Amino acid sequence: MEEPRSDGPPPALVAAASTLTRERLRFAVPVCLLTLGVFLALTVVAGFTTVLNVQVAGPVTLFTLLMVLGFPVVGVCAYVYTRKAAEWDRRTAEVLASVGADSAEVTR
Amino acid sequence: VTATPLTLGVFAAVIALTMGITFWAGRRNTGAGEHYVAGGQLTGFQNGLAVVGDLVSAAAFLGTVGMMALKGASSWFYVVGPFVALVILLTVFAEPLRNLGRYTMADVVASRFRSRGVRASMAVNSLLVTIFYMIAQLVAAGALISLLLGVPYWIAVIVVGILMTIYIAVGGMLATSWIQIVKAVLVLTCIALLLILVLAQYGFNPMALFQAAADAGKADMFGTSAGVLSGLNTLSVAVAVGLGTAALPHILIRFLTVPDVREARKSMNWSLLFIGFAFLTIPVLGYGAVALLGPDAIAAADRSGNLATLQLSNLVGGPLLFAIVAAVAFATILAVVAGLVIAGSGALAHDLYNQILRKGQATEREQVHAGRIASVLVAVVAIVISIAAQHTNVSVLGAMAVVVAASANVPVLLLLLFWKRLNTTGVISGIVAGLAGAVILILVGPQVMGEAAWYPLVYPSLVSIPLGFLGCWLGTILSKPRDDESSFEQMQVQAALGVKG
Repeated sequence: MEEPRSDGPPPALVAAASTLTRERLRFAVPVCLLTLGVFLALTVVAGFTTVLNVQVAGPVTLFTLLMVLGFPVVGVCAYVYTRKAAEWDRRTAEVLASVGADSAEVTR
Repeated sequence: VTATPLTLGVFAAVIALTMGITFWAGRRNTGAGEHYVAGGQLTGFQNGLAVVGDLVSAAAFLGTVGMMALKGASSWFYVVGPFVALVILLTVFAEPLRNLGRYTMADVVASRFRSRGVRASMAVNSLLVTIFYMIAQLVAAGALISLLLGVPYWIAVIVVGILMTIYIAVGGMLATSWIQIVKAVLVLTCIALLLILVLAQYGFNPMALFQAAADAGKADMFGTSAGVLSGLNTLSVAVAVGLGTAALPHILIRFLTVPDVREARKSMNWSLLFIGFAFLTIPVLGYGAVALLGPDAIAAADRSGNLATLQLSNLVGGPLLFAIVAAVAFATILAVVAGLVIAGSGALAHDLYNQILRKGQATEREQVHAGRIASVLVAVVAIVISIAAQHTNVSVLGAMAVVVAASANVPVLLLLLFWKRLNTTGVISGIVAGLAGAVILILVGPQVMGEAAWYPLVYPSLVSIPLGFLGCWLGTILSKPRDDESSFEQMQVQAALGVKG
């Protein structure tokens, strides 16, 4: 059953959530642009031209090499994100402790 | 490639194992929380393996190997795209969705927009995406089992359909998760074993393998062909898999099975590690297949190449490896369809039946009962369509589901989380525009109409995804917020901090 809406969260929580969301976006947007953007750019170049068909090692082309390189790039992004997220976890815990247990209901 | 007592024995062992898990889980499947999200008590590692179980599907394990062997380097988009999508899942969706959702995708959207229309449109969208994806798995299952057991394709599809229905009806999400975990371990082991055996044929020299593949392949195995139409087609595939994989309902609800955001993040990290290994290896197996078998033999066994992995395993490992790989492919299909059925039946039973028809008043027992009936209905629809879609490459079918997810879910989820002005009408019009745009363009595209197609590209993502965003924007600016909408700040507090203000 849907739960009734309250009047609104405490201002301290709103401010903390807004700051954390902005910081997360400041990290996520460049990372997503790097990975998805490069992948799509590669797609455009490979789809409309043959410049990536140049062979770099035996029959392996620059296209294939760049596709393979996508895997370690994603791995590095995930590693950096996880380190940043640990810091956000710590700050979330601090915020929740500062507003007290009875001002907010932990989800689920 | 024929059935032997050994093959049948390994198949029977897989069915016995999954049934054992199902009935073990069935004893714990007592309430709605257990049925839909395994009580939210999986660890990050367990859920990470279950995500592997969801994403390393038959489309990847069978379809992509065959596609690489027959169509060459353009198949890389089908493995790199979903892997890139995992970054979006990790950095944008996983943690907020864990904090906002309860059992389904519609729950996530309903955390801000309480309208029945929002819930209904999200539920219908989830249902369609999961049924599209399920068809890809069932087509692969039908091809595999009819080949191995010599039974007609339609009987094979029905048998798999019955099995997947039992898994969900009896064991719910707990059974699904553990079947996926077991399957993930099996499929990763098989992929590693096949990689070693294929490389062994070339003295563990990958370059010798690649040269043999380049010599044997009919298509360009390492480069792509350029052209306006092929370029647009390639881009539409890349956009679809690069965005849509991050918005598949059966993947997103996996983050509702863990207790907190830390475990959700751990899930993603483990799944990235294992999926990275699998998706990097699968194309190499495609090169191995074309080098060792040749494109004619692969196309002769199945014109879409869906049996290339099995042919390869028979060649490099003999009947024993063939039996094992066939059984693992079977387990792969069972695990993925189980995940899809739970996502689809959740949308039907929890969202449409309990939240809308019963106004959220169904008892725990009624909810579980409705979930069980819904799983049967979802399975029947998927089985009927799968029987008609026998001769389509399973990777293409899987990508169709991804297009719909990218077009309807991505705009709504992104704007839900980050656009303050979005309102109820914007959500509904975004879902309808993305969904209808994707489905209509698929129906009038070359995949359905062949050379008489009205829309030239196989995947409509270049048009349908912008349509989804446009629908959200237009719906929002042309309407007023409703009284039953939660404030953006409330949603943001819940998404970022995991608390309801």
